[in-house]
Amino acid sequence: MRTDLQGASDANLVMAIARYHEDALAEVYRRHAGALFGLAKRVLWDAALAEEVVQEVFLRLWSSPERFDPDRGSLRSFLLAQTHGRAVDQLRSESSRRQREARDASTAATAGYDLEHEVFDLAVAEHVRDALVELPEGQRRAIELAYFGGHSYREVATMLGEPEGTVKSRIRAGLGKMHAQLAPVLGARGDE
Amino acid sequence: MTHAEIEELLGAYALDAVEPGEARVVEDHLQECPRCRAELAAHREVAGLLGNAGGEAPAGLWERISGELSLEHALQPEPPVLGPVRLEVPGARGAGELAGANAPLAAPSRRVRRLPAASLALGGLAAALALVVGLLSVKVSNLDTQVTDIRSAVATNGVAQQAALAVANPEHRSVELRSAGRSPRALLVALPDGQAYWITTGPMPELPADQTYQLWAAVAGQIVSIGLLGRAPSDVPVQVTTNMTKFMVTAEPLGGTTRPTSAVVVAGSPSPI
Repeated sequence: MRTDLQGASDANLVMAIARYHEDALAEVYRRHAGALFGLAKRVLWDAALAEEVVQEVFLRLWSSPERFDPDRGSLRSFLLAQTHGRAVDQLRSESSRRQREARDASTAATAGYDLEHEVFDLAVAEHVRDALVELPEGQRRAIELAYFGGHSYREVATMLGEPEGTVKSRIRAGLGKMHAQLAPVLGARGDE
Repeated sequence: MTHAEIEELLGAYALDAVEPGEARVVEDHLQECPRCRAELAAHREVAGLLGNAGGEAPAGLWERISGELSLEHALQPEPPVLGPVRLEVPGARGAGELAGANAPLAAPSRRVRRLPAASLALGGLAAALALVVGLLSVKVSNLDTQVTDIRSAVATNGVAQQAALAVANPEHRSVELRSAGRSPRALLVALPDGQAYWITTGPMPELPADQTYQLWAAVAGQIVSIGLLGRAPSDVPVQVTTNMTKFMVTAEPLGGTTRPTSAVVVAGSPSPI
């Protein structure tokens, strides 16, 4: 069973999860939990909170596997999106305000991400970093603050001293540009 | 919001960077706009790459997830048994094998509760207890609790006797704990005052000398320890509260742990009143 699962596609694993095969969830965990935890921790700056988020994402996949639609992207992207959403919810909750203040202070001190060390696949990392770096400064900063900082576009606007509309447009335009840039990578990516 | 205004939000929405009210507007719109759905999918792909950092998941996380879902799993396909319950008690165990212990239960307020390290060995009572357990071949209708056959009236051991009395008490509620293969292994019988008894009804493999079974409960989404059952549990008194929604047992190092660290052996949940 174990061997079969290791060769199974993510979509098949999710089908097995729908039939309550815990081994299938374990395999999804083996493939993706590290990346999910990495993202949650990066956004939350707190390992314990990040663990809670990852746990929640997996329990949600277990209870509602039908929410994953293989036609709309890979399981990894789906789980990362879930993780990011939950992490941001955590961040915006009252209780984590203090951690957030501490985090913002340290973010300011360590500005500039070294994506190369953090991105799962080095070849992809290279492309992603290039695509990000090639963006106009305003777009790149808006995306980084929103995604990795977990800030709303309104907060980003305040932080950068820009109009909200400008920040909205920059995020959208920047993501669009990166998508075009990363098209070859996106096309080549499998489930894992 | 106009279509153009919503479109403008899609990038921020893909990064979870819009206000909740805006998110709802975008979601409503996505239901009926394939063009925006396609654009969002593209943004999400990019976000997926940005967030795709590597790394290891922390040790023990899978065990906690697995523990939680074993509980869910044990409950979903098969509702708890409501009809007459037959307690199938295994044959008498060898004297001296039983080391039961239970930890006092404070109101569980945190996920992690430190347990007293010391185990209370019932050792000397084992022979008597084993005999009583062997006699506890009871057939119980657990709704009206009409006890049709309790041959344990002569119980000489306090715990087993009290467990038998609890089963006979019409006000008891019981939870059947099953293995992943669904075979019932134990019954948790609780009285209205919170006093409860773990009663082994099926095979619970004896653990090595340095391990103990540990009983856990889910309370408001958190897992708390209720007590140690020993390495070859028979009847063990524990305290429960009505807000405990699930129960499960894991094998842990002697003395217990603060959170489950191994796979769930059996699990069960109270049936709705």
